[in-house]
Amino acid sequence: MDAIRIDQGPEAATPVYPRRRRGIPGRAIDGEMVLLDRHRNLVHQLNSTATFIWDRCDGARTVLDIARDVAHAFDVTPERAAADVMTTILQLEAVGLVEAWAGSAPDRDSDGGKHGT
Amino acid sequence: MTPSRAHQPPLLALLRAGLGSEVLRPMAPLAEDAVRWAIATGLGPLVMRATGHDPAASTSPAWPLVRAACLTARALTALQMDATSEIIEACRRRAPPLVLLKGISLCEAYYPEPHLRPMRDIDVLVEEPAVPAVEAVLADLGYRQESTRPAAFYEGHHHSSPFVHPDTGIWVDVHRAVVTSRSELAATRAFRSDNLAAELRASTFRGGAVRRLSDELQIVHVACHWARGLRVVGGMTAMADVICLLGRRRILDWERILGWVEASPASRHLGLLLSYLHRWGLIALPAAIAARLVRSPAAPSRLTARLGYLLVDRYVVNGREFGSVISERTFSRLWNWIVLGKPGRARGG
Repeated sequence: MDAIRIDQGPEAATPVYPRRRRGIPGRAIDGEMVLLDRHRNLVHQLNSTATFIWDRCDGARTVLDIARDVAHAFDVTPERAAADVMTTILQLEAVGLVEAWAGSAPDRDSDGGKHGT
Repeated sequence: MTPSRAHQPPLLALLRAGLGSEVLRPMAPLAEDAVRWAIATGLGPLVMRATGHDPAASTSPAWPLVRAACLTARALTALQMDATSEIIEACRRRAPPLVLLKGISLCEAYYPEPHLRPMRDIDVLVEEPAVPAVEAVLADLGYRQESTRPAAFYEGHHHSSPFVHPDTGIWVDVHRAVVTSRSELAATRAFRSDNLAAELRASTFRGGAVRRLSDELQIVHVACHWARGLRVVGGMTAMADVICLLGRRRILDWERILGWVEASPASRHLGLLLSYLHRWGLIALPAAIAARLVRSPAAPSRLTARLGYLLVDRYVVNGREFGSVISERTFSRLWNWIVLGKPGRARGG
């Protein structure tokens, strides 16, 4: 399966499965996620909404699945949730924290590092 | 001669404040350069702890760096501690209780907060026959051995080739001894296997059974490791270790320590580190013990010790850049001479 940029694969046409990139461990500190990207020597701090989304980037949920969870948890409209989730995932992808597949869900046991976007 | 506290380098004031109850206020004594050096040398979380209550601190241009360093340390330490718990649990039925060494032991047992003690890796020690079992556990947990050094290097070394976890980037060293057999320190009574066995203490780590070095052996180990492997960047960690080890009015059996190290290179290493901290008022060393360390046959001359203090003040504590007179190579040569009492290359502690 090929990895593609999620802005090239409209969710409406093809489900997109974002997944946390392997080798970027994180810990919740004071309610917000701190991610350590040791390859790039960067530390990222996610706010509570981004942490919620990050937790669900497991390669099994689609962007729309995550948006539904966000709408429910944060009491926002589905449209607003979808837009926020897409924006957040694009930002996470841009800084190398998630990768996303279009099509069917990727093999969760595969080595994510071999399929960089 | 003891220097006045007014002339204390800012990072030593930071050690005093960050590890004690003093509040370094305002942040002004720490110029931006000093803050940057503190972060580089692993003391970023101490800056946060010592100055965090100062409202003006957050206006410092270096504040985002301090915050990032502290967050990184908190997240990394949490990961390292979780990894240690997992390893302890996985080893429970397959090896004797692990002996926690260096950072992973000190951060939890002696520091006010674990993340204040930077750790590059997790160091565990087991009796030699149990090393393969612990290594097998690590392999089962997903760790892989990775090193740029040839396998032959680790044959006489005090730990096997390091393990790293590909998902977390956590490194683990499995030690079979406290010091390398190639070092003259291996013959020092403190580190001989019979003494090591006698100085292991049953303990727990998050409820899991472990062993730790006694406080007395811990301080000798810290000092020898510092002296033998002094790095300009990170060389203050051992200072913080000793301050914490001797903190909270902990009473050490100095007679036992001096009995182990008397007239050995370990005595010289211990004397150098303790006297350095004592002269800046960061620890209160009993006068009789200080005198015995100075009179030890292995002790450096006063001139040599002062040269050592100067090098540590200038490059390790103040982070001065090397120049044409004292290059990094010259520093290394001078330090080895101070530590060994003769020209040569210091080998691991």
